[in-house]
Amino acid sequence: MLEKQLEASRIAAARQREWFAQLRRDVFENGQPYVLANVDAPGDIFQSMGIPVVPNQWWAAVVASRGMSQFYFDGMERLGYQRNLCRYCSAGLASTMVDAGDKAPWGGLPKPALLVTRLACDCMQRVFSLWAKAFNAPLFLIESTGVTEMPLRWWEDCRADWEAFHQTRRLDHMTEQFYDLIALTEEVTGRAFSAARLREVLELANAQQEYYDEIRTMIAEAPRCPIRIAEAQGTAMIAQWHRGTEWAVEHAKGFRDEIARRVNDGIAVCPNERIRLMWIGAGLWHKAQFYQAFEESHGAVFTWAEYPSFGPDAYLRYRLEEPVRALASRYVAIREWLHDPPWANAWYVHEAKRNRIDGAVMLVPTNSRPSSTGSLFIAHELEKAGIPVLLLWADMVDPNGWDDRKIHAQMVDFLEKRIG
Amino acid sequence: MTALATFERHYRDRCLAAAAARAAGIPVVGIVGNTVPAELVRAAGCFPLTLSGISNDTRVGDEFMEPFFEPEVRYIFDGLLRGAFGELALVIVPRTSDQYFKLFLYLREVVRIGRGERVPPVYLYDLLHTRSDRSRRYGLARTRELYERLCEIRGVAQDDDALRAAIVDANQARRAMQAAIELRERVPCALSGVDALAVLGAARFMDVNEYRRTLESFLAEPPVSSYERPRILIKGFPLNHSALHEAIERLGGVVVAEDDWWGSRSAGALIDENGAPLEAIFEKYFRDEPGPRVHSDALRQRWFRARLARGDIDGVVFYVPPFDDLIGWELPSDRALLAQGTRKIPDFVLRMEVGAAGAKLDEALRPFIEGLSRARETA
Ligand code: SF4
Ligand code: SF4
Repeated sequence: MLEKQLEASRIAAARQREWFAQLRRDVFENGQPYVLANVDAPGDIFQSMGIPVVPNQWWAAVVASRGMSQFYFDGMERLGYQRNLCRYCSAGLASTMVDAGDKAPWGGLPKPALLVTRLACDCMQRVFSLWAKAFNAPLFLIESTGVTEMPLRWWEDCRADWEAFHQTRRLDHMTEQFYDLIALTEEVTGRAFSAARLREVLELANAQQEYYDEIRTMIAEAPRCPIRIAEAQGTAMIAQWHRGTEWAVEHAKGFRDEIARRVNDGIAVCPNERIRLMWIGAGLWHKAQFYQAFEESHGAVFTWAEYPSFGPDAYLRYRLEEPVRALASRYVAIREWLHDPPWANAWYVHEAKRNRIDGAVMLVPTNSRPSSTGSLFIAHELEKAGIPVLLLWADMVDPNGWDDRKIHAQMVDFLEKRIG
Repeated sequence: MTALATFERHYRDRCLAAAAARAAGIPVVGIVGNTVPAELVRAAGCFPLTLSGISNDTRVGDEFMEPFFEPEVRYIFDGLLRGAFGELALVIVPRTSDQYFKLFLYLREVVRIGRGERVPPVYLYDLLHTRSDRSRRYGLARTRELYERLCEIRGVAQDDDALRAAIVDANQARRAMQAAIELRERVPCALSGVDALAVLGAARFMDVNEYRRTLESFLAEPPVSSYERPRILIKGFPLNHSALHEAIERLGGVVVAEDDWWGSRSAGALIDENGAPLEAIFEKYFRDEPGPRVHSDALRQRWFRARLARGDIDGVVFYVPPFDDLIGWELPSDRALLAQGTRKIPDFVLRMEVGAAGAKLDEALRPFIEGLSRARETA
């Protein structure tokens, strides 16, 4: 792990530990009901009902950080689940199905009151059905309708005009499903839902995203990149799990102030910045050094990653008179924005221009098929806009698939011959 | 030409009947997969052609579609970019799998960026597959819209009588298909798996009435065969060609069933002829057609369980090609089922892509099929 440059990063890390401890007391020791949810499920609803949420992908990170992924995936293979199945979303399931005895992180996840996921890819229902069965707990699946009208500038149009932006039938369907989910949650946890409280949570979430909006604008406009993008991304993502709390708003404000100070003071992560690079795809969590490896030799700096930009662009929602519907408008297309043409390509090109990007490096995971679709369209559109693209075909969680020397050579070739 | 030869011809040359329809002035509508109601297309006076085939050259599509897509989806994408299916008045893609949905978005996108000159108009049939009441209402509304859109092609009015007639035609064909399936299920089996795939698969490419007539004449004088061999069931990734069946039957087995919309599950249940016709058609596709997004797990597994329970299967081949990311999740519970009954059923997991396997395929399967044959002799 690289040294952190921001106080906001240290605070976020500390908060994460605290939250961890609290969750552990509430859920693991005091047996409070909690919801096990995939990241594309509407966590804000549970937040507003005072129900802790364990996000699937976050728990997977806990498993990985304890060095347990390998153990669990081996165990899954012994149970008959082949190696090339999506690992990204199934590490948590593995931690429940494979008995690790006292090596299990925190003794393993206790039984949740409810499991929730959205049926984006076809694997999701399988992963979560197995999980719900293993826990003998109820499962709520959010159906995902198909989109046929796709106005390009979703990041602008959807903030306030979401009602007109989305196809009514899709928004209706998602909203109704959210009400079903609320009813089921009330039933299984005994907690009451309040629309007024959800609205407060969404207002807090907005305040947080507005600060991120400022942060990403400052990063885009500063003469040289003021902060390591991997750090900005990591910090924004940790705080995003606490969306809808006063703490998260305060934290985002402090984060913003720090970036503003750095820009004012002319601080640059690479004083010799000559080439501005964009990183597309999931983070290379096992290779954080990669992002810096070409600063000294080529003045090449990664100045853009999905976060903090995706937060304000996808999460901000104004017009909260009907908070459940407003929230539904956030989730009805969230995956398509990031992965599917033309929405994904339009966004990346827009962001690239805004950030004065000289070249884009795109990770195409070979193992999680549905999360890698749309890559070639994104590359095509960036190239058309005059931004060279390097495709890296690799697995995002498995370090074994990553050949350092080969990728280094590809990068050098890209920087020298394509961008020059 | 014998009836079987006719089926083989259409199974091989999949656009043949569509081309004839087009020549007769009937607009051809391309459909993807098994969940688009062909009855609606026929009721609107058009010819439904299931887009399907095997190709090893997808160069045109490869510029935009990543190599990890399923072979058939890549084939369709590439074919539509090239105009390989001839003129199509519309292409209907259902929401039935994530890959189909991407296919729809990709087709839309190549057109948007000016690279899809030959791509016909593309339509998403947003059929959902969780069996909730909400999904049902949503799907029914989409089905009405689809019928409306189809009627625009020839400018015909929506017409319940036309829908009813299309249901009757389709049901008659399905009855004949059920009879063909029954031939395979006899002990000993009276129709090889390879022949069955051609007989059943041709239904997706031929005119429905011609198909039914040909099948009826086939059934009137079925080839006298009796396969006293190990009886195999195939489960796994849907097979739009017969390479795996050929290998199994070359090695001395016979494929009597496959949990797959090209084979044993191609006919399924009949459509209710007495209810409101559009709803009845929708119900068939919503409740009866197999698909990767059908939920719950128990529903998805129902056919397989029932088929095993008949007690006549000697071995199961699970087809799990390298690009699979779905079947693998079900494999352990499917295999556990085989061990459950009074008679344990042996199985074999085939982990190569059949279309590209060549001689390796026989090598891989040989010990399993020969083992079953030996067991049969000693029994
Ligand atoms: S396809 Fe993507 S979202 Fe689906 S299970 Fe795999 S990694 Fe997760
Ligand atoms: S693959 Fe896409 S949808 Fe699935 S978890 Fe990752 S970002 Fe979300």
